[in-house]
Amino acid sequence: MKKTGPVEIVKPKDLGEAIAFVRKGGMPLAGGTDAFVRIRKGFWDPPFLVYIGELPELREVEIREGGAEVGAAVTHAELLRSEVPRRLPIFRLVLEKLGAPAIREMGTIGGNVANASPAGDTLIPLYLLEARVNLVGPDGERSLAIEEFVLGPGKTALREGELIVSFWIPFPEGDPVPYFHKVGRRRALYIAVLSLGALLWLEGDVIREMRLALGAVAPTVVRPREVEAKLRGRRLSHEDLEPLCAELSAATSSITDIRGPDWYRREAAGRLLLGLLRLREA
Amino acid sequence: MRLRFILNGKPMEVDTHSGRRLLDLLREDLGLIGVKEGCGEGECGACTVLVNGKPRLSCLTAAIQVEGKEILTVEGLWENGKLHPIQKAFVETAGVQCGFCTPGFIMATYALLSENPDPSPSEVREWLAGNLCRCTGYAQIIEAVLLAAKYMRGDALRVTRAEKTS
Amino acid sequence: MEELKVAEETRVVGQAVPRLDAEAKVKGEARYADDLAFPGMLYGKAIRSPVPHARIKRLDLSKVAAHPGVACVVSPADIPGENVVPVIYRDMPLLAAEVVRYVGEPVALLAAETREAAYRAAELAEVEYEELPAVFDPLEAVKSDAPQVAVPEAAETGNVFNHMVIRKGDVARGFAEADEIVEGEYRVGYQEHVYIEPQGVIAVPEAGGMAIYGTLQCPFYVQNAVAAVLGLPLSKVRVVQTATGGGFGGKEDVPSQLAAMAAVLAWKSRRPVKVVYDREEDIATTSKRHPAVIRYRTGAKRDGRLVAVEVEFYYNAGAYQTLSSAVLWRGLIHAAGPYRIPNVKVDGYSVATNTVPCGAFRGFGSPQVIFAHESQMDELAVRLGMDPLELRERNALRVGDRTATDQLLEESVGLMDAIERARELSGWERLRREAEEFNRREPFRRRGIGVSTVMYGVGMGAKAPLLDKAGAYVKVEADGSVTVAVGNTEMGQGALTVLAQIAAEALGVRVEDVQLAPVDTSRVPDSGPTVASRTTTVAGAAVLDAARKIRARIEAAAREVLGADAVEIADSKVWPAGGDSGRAVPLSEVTRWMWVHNWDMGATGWAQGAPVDWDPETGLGKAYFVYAYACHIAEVEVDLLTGEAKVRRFWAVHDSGKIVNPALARGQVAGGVAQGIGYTLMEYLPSLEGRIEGTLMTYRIPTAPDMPEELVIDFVEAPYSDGPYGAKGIGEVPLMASHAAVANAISHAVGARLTEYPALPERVFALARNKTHPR
Repeated sequence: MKKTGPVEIVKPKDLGEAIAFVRKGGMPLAGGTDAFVRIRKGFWDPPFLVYIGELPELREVEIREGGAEVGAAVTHAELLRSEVPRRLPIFRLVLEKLGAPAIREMGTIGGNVANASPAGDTLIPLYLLEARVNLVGPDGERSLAIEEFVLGPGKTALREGELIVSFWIPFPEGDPVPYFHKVGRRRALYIAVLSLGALLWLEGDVIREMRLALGAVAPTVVRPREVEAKLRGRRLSHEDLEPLCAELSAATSSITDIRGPDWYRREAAGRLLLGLLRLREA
Repeated sequence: MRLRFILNGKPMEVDTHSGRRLLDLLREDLGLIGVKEGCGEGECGACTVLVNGKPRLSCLTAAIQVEGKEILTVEGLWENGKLHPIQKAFVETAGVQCGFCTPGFIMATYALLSENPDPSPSEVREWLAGNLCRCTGYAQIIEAVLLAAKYMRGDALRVTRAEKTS
Repeated sequence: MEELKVAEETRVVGQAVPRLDAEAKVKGEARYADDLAFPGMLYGKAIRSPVPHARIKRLDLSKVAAHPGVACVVSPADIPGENVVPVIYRDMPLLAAEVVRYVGEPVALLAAETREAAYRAAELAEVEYEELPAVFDPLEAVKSDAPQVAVPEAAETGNVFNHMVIRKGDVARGFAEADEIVEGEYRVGYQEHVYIEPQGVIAVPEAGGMAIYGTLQCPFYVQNAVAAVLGLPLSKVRVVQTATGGGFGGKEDVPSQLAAMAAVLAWKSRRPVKVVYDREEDIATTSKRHPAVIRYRTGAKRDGRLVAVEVEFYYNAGAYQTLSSAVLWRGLIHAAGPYRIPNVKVDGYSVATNTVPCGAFRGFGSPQVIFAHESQMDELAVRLGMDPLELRERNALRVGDRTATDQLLEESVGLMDAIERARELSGWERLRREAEEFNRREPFRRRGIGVSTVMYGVGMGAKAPLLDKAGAYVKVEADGSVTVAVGNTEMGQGALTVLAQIAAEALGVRVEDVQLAPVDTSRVPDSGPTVASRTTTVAGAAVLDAARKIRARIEAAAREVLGADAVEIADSKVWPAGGDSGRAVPLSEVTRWMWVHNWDMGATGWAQGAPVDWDPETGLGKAYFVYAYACHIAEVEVDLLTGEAKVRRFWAVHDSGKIVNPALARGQVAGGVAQGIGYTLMEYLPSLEGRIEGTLMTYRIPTAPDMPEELVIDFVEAPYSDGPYGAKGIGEVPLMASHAAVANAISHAVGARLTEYPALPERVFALARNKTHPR
């Protein structure tokens, strides 16, 4: 995959063998949509790759009491076709904006999370739904809240030899209204300049409960809990939301990169709160 | 590694490297030049092929990832000179200009129409977002896809489409 | 909508016949540059400068040469001929020998058995650079204390490659008479072609010379460059065009550079050498649309009549001349727009900087100034309280008017018809009203309607009339089928099909009976470049010339065969004139007879552009032999919360004279609209200290969902008497018109003037929040 030649890839026969390979320094490979690009550019130069994309333990989507368990190697397209978006419609809004059909057939939820990009689309619903990451490694299994798992750009709590096996995505109480706006320089096939996802529990036009997640405005996806708290009890109206735009901006710590300047990310993040008013149109 | 897979309906067995790009395997080792490289990083869609019926970018796919799978390329669509309805539609609507992106568009269209035989114009537009064309502005490509859908459905479903657009 | 009134007298011209090359393309059988291989072929690669300006102290290729798989290395001393990539000037070396002037400039070459080995070996070159002060901004580079970038022999003064002027009337008096004057400064960055097939050529040693196969627009440029670097006569270099996956100007001069590299490597190694760029190398090191700084002042009377325009513009040419003088000239001639203006003063500068050489891109120096002049027109309309479409109508050029260069327009000016048709199709007044109503209703969304009108000088123009020529060879086979050879290329635009239609029309055969031979420089005389929207007009005229000669012979033979005084020929059938065409005989009977009687069944054709004449001192004269025109209207919606803009609907009306193939013409327009939308809204390629790092992940071109849901295309045909069947050019015009309509729509939507491309969300966001003038 490098321009200077192919990289060695092994295909373990089960999860145990996969962990053993990873422990030996192999880098896990699932869909390849990010890994192969980074290897080609020379950003990554792993000694070998461990192809975990077809391990049965990582491939299941299961709806259970109180939540969904989604295998790490489930592709975005498979997730879209599964029961999950029907139970958790925020996933549909997000996944339909992720890449394009071929990318969605290849890329996996586990790969997207392991990359730990602040612009990683699937992180938005996982943060909103307070998902847990199930890991397995040489020392056995453990589970972390998504916010404990993602530490910074490209940084996670994965220990040596550990793999993501699945995600536990609890169903929220009631029937929150989902919202997602992904800002980009074109209409499709783009990485977020910034994004805002939300779940709203409404009584009439009063916000009873609210969760927000901002993407690409800080080293990780951000849950601005203070703003969420202040929104409770407010009406879904311009007068009630406008005063909190500045506070939402303040919850960011943006940088300037190839996709956009810091000041814009900060200010637009605040203004995006007003985008929730569009839910009234629907 | 010894790699076995089905290529355009025929069983295939080749010696290759586990990390060889599917794109290179198809183009350089197997002579399927209809698979095109436009960017090498999954952004243009010119290298789109179908793997087990689903669209995949062959520039970001390693040989080992297609072991035991079925691969379909644009060469697998036509037989004895007879064009597939999708290919025919692209010719008829002038959905082809320079033609370099065309095989990728045709394969993406094949995947779309397998999943959704009666897409609306906006569904076609969204589906094709992963395939870049710099010549046509997409208008005649979208017409080609809609025409191909009509050819493949026959006329029986015309009513449902009318309902859908209204 | 696109249905055209086909003139009675044509049967093939004017028909939407399917492309002749479509079937091979949909099957995946068409062979592009990287699809060809030759026995023993090596992979060539350039070793490039990592710094923008430096003296080369030492070049050591020993480790490169020693790397396994490397068959050949080339340093400047190994070039058998001249170390040059000749374009208009001869300032650009193939390999920098003493000084590098931009990041990515080639300093050495290698060829290896595999692509992988070539990549690996290229990293092993040891080059010592002594860095020199560098300059990247044209406004800095023209200062007296700026580092000298330009090769002095190629520049007029310092880093000013060229300064060109127009002086018509008296602008001081014009502005004194004006009731309203608007002023503005406009900036644009790079636009990258993103032909989906990257650059690629293969050099194959052949008969004491060299054959070149490649994806290219201008085979005779390549022939000239390869002959120069190998020190060979032109007759020893043969250039064959492969299927070409898009050009847009990007494959005008750049393939000469690749071909020269491959040729030098092939010459030294005595083996075929392929040089194919990957996308990163292509974006970083090949030509682009010139970034520009453009200053305008426009004056009008209260009734909207333009009285004066004054323009000063700077194009960032990059480190070498390449095509910049020609690009500058086209910008100059187009600077005043398609309007009647008595007093015009234009100063255009192309400036050398330590950046990658810019070159040809669809529109060729005109889109930059069009952005400016169309923005000025809208500013004026606001100031005058006049409808922007009406302001354009008031000033639009008509037959009998004089252009900014004082050229009298004697015929074929369809601008007013185009404006009227666009007004009617879009429902302009209603559209503007509905947008205003929407904006009053919607808190966070704004819609805007923008218009743009343009003129386009077809062909090379008076700056390079020596290139406005084309040859053709047409032969009719014994079975009545027809082979046509030309020196102008198919790159996606449909030239092949259009030329076949012209041949078929002239000969009276079915278009499917016409075969265009692959372009090969050994088949026809130097036919100039395939650029400047001139192929239908000029190469078409050459085909027509040859076909008419054959037609006369066919008719003579048919008179013999049928024993008739006069004959008619159509659809590959022949019958006595005035007789019943139902009793016609197949053309093949006549051609068989010609073959049996040893008739000459081939003919050459030749054409050149009609005379032009222009004075560089005053900038006045007949700049082009004819102009094409267009009027585009865009409806845009802006999200005020984020600054994201989307084109909702679009109307494009063109006068390109007779439309030879409406389906292909429509494709040209839709494609040009897409590139224009990209130019205005998203295509952004920053350069940091002359370093360009772009991939298709960071340089965004429009996808299908970025295109308007409604795109209406129509043609008004003002025939050109010297064009084949009245045809003018179309290729570049749609891009030229579209981007400014989108820009004007954004400004209309947010109530503030967009002065810089691209209108990225952050720029529109800022624009909407700090309005600069009342709505």
